[in-house]
Amino acid sequence: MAKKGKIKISKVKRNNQTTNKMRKKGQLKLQRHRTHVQKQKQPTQQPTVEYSSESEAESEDQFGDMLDDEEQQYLMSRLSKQPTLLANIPENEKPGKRSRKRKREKKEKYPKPTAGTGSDSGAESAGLSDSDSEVEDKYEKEQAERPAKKMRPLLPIKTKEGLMERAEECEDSESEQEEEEQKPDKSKQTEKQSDDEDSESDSGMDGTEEAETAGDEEKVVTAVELMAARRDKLQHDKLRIGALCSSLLENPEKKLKNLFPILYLMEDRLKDGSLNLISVRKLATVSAFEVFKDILPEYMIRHQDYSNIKLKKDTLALYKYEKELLEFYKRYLQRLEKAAGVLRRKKGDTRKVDEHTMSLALVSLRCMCGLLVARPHFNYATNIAQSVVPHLDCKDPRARDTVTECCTNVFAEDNKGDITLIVVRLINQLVKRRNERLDPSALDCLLTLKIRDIDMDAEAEIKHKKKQEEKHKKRIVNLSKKEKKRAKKLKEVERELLETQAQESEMARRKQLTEVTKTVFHIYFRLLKTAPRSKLLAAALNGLAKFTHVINLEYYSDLVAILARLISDELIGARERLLCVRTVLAVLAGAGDALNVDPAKFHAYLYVCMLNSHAGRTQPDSKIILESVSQICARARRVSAAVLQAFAKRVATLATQLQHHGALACIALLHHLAQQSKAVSTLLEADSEAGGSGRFDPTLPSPEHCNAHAAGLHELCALARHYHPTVRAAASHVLRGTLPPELNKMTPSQIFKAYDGSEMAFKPAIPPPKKGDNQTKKISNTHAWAQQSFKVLCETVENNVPMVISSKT
Amino acid sequence: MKVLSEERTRILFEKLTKYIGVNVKLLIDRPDGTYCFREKKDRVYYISERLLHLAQTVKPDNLIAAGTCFGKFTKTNKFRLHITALTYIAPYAPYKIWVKPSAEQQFLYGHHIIKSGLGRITENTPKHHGVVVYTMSDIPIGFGVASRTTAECRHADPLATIVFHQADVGEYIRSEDTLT
Repeated sequence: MAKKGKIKISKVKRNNQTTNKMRKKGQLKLQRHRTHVQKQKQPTQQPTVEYSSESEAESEDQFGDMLDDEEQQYLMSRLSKQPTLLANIPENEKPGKRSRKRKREKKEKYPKPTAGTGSDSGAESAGLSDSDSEVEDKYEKEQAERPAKKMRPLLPIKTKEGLMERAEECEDSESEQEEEEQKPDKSKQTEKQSDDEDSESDSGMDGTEEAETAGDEEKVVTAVELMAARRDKLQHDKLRIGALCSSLLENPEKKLKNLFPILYLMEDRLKDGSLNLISVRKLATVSAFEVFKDILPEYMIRHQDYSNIKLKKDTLALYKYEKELLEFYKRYLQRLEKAAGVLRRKKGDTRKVDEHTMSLALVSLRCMCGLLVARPHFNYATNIAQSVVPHLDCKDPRARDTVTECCTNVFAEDNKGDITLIVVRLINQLVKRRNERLDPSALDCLLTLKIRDIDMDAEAEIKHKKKQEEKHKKRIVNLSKKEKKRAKKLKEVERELLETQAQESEMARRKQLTEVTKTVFHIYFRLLKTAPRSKLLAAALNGLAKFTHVINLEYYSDLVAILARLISDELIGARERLLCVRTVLAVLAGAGDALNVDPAKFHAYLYVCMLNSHAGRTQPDSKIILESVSQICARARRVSAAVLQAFAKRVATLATQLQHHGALACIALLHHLAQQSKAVSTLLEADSEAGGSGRFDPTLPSPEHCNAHAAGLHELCALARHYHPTVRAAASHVLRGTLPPELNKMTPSQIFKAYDGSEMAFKPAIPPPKKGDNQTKKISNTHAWAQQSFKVLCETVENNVPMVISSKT
Repeated sequence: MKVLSEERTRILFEKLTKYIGVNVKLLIDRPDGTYCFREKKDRVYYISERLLHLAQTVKPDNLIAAGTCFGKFTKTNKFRLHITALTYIAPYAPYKIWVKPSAEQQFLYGHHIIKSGLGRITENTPKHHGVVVYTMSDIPIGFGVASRTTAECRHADPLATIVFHQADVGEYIRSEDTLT
């Protein structure tokens, strides 16, 4: 409908222009100004004006000629200075005041009244599709109906011939006025910050011209009117969208065409070139999103060419419907992508993006994410992922969060593995492209991947075995070419059969997940190798530590070599280096019996760095340290006794310099170590001087040679007098070889979290001070005098000085 | 007791570096005084300078040995470490191998260590690097040369050799007469 109407309008317009030209032949000078005036009128109205009231137009033109730009400006300035000049003149009659803006407003206005709810497509164009003469007739009638008062006097102007009285045709409806008044609306609205979600951005109207004219009209227009006008328009569009959507949902097969106007409302500009309200665009976007979420099928639509095959009527209808649906979906996605594109700036693009466009972009992005999550197997899911995933590197944290959440949901709900693989691959590409410039939070979503029970080693082994067996088989059975072909075809058919089965085959899923895992490790290893000094290192190490259980042991030696290099790199932060150590230890602890290696270098580094963490700024590091030592504890049987003893001693020392939650975790860890290793438990024994040779040297950087067996855990005695009651209890328990039951169930990291006092929540709660205790303490804390004579002196002074202080002096 | 020639010093230190890396200098600059290497009858002795001065009072013909024998130079002018050096080398060794109790005896009889006997190995051990062999209870029992890297060990055949035998504490009994 839109197209049809547009053509009509332009035709009428052109008609007007040509007739005008003919009439005004020889008066070329006027042309510019004339068109100005003309444009202000409703296009269809124009011819009527021309023919019916010739004289009127004449006079208008005449003064139009004579009023050149400078004079206009002068008048404007006069008016602004002396508003009383116009006191008796209706305000929209100010000469020269009418801007292009006004014309636009009117145009925008025009389709509105005709655009009914529901299926309005025909209604609007109907009136316009009539022939010109018909239109003219109509307007002639209208014109006749108009009362004479429509002529208004204007300010006289001076010309060569003397003073010239002017009059102008009056713009009738006040609704127009209202429309006009929407302009300053914007500036006021920002102040008001109305709570209405839609009204948060009404910048649909704003363009440069509007902003300019806004200043002029602000005086005459009240904010209330503006708000009302805006609300009316919004209300109208809301109703329209709502009606379209609900009727579409009632019968999607028949009313699919309803999507067209909705998509049209998402456009930047309406068909007549005027700007669309951002709020309307948002509404249309979100509504279409909800509609699509409801009507899109879960499965992927596949279309072959049915043109030469005869189909049943129903099938044909369905096929047609699906095709149309896909087409609409595609258009919708294109629009979303275009709108969301604002978020990602090209290099060197320094144009400023205003807040409203930004919010529209965010809404679009959210819709795309929602569609990806809701219909991960439908057509174009790949395309959505392609346009969404790069936003992980967006500068705007809201956009990043949206996409991260989307990826998380996709990973959580995907039980087929396809879309996960696609997304992960896209992230891989992103990492490849951006390299170290990538935002560290971009990799957060990978941590939520559900990589479980995938045995990379087993996979490789099976593959290897299969290959060998196949070779063997080939040698035994020499297939002919024909047979080979047949076997190939059979395989294909079998695969297709599998696909049609509703349930996802476990095999396929595992295969996909294996691929996902490979890609994820690819990402991490690339970061480790190419950008070890960027902020991304921590993200990569976290990921590696998280997925140690599926790490391919083939990579292990590579990984250890890289990380060993990293921990000797001075340019990398202490925290990242600790993370390296933790990663290696986690991999080792996870690998279990498969690896019989002794990470001596990492042990030594951890041992040295442990004391760098204290209750101050480096408190967060202690968490990593505790986790690392827990990993050592987990494989205590594979670590030599001297190392374990050294670590036990160091953990005890560390406990004294951490806050209470760290100290508690350390004590628990010490207990676990003592349980795991006999050597450590001998340290706890009071009369353990069985260590033999040597003397403990805490300054030695090597845990193996520091003679920790000769050390005593005297720190526990100090901890038994700790300020925190639980620490006191735990320390004395550990000395006796037990642990308080409430700590026994928790791992050190859990304890670390549970007893953390940084949120001002104390565990156990601080008991209220007892009243009786306080008083007795006060008495006992009175001053003690060392010299009795001095006491006597003080008392005499005190007694002799009058204690009454007069306030008058 | 004579000072080692330049050539022989180089050979000796190359050999030691193979086992203990940069820690060689710790062998010489010790907190309890300076130690040095001296040669007598192709055997190299590790001795503190204080003791060396005392030993010089003995007539060279009458002096059989002073200090700890680290090894000997062969006729082809190669240095061979003796098990007697183990006490000094073991604490400084960066690469170690732990053998399972079942494989200890095999090693102590002078056999190579095979994969099935491997209890634990330091990560990133390079190929053909000197390693100190430990029991699972952390007692050094000899040294050898790694025939595979740590990574390769994982995939090795159970009967494949992991460490070539160089010296073991069993030699104190087996070749008592040749050790000085």
